[in-house]
Amino acid sequence: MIRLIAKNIASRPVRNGALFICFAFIAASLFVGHVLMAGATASVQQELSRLGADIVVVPAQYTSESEAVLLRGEPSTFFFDRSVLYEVQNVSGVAQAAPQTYIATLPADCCSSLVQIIAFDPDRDFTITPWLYEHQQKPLGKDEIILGSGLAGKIGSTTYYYGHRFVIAGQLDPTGTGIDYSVFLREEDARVMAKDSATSAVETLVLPENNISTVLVKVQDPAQAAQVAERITDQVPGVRVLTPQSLVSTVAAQLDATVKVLDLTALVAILVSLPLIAIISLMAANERMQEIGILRALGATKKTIFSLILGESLVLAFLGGIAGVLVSLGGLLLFEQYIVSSLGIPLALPAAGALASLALTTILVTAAIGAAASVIPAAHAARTRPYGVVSCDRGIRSRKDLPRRRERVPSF
Amino acid sequence: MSFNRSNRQLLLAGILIVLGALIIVTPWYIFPICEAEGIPSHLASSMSMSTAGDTSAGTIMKCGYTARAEIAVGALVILAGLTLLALPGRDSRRAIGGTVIGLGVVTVLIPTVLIGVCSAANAPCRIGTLPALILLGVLTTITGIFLVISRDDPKANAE
Repeated sequence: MIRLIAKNIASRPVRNGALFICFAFIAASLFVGHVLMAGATASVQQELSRLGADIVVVPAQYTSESEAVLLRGEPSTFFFDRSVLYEVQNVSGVAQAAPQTYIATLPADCCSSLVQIIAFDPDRDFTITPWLYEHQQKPLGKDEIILGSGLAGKIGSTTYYYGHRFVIAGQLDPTGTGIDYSVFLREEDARVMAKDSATSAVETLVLPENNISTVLVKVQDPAQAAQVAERITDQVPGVRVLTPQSLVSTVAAQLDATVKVLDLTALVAILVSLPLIAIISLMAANERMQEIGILRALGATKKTIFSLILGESLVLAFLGGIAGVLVSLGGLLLFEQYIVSSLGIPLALPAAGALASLALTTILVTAAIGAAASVIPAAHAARTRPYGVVSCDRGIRSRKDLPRRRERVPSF
Repeated sequence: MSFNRSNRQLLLAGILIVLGALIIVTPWYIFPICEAEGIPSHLASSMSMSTAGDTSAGTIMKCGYTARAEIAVGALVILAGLTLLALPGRDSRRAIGGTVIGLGVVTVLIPTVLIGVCSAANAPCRIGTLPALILLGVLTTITGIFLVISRDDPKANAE
């Protein structure tokens, strides 16, 4: 049976090739949309777990800038007063609060592209410091920096920001978010860099003494994070609270249009191709009536003929689905950063297990579409009567085409 | 409906001509390099986090050289496609196939090993031009392999 299906597919390369491409297109449209959504969501959760924070408190008027830094690594400089840190710390349910200061680098004539500098307080920090102890067994030293995974630079080499010389002490693992394009250093060094920038940089960096950019918050009970976030919003004026849920919904809103377009494309492709595939299968079945008749005469049952026609479509849909998933996965891997840049979303491709599950679902859905389209042609072919089609093709293919008993018996 | 030899040859020649044209235009129009994006060369050349000050201000950056080299490779792929149209014989097809495999490999090697692109992870040439050229190089190589290994149509040989 399988050999017969393979031979039948190979004997009509153009028609079956077109069907194959059609199925591959449907699979690719379905797969890409859902991988993008899963990748963006996973990426945000990965970023917050890397930060180790349950809540990020940002200045209310710089909410979009803060989201751009966290999600896409778009460099930005903004501040609020340090007193916010103490106010947040006093909110009930807050276990730890750590300040961070965001500084965008200059498009200087040497050394670096625009990157986000994130200065942290080593005494309060619960994000970079544990990572450093885990990987290097020592805290970040004077004028040392940690690079995000997306930035080029060798560990131990030097680089300059605002004319200040820094040594690269380590590099974080990729997250697919803004962290990948950020540089982490001690707040103390950032203050010195700002002070020296008046004489050594093209532009002076103004870093007010009592200002910070964000407060990272770890709550006592992670299940109560939403309530703590509400309390911070109520009790601390002029701030906005970012939670994993709020960041995920921001990304989901950004991706919504793209995913809808991809789903719509897949839907249109299905609606157009389903009747088309059915007609093509019907035409193929009609063309092969004599062959089917011979098979029936040789003992093939109706079920065998039905399986044969259905199997051809199923194999084409299955192979098309696999090809569509593989090609789109290759495209996503190759153009991952381009997609991130064009859509303005964070993206880390889902883990192998989740990716395999998405791929399998897509292939099965595509195969089901292929099977659904060929049920009618397969049933039509299975109803064929062998003697009708084999005997000089008189058009007798089913019971209704047979002459009536009265007509068959001549009356003398 | 099935392909006879001349139809297949025509299709493969067409594919090669299109691939060659894409190799030429991709770095300038489809996935533009930093230079074509309007990033000044003295800034683009510094889009790497080098350790020392970059003194190459005003020079063509790496991705610019890559784009220029790919023009030559793309032109050769187009020439291979045209030659395939003019010389449809089995031996010439295999020879052209071998050349096309080499050109496909060079298309990939230019932006990855031989010349390279800007080192900043978010540079336009790195996120767009590089993967596009790798894809085009791989497709060119696959077309070349197909030209080398594809069997002659027995019906055409019988004639």
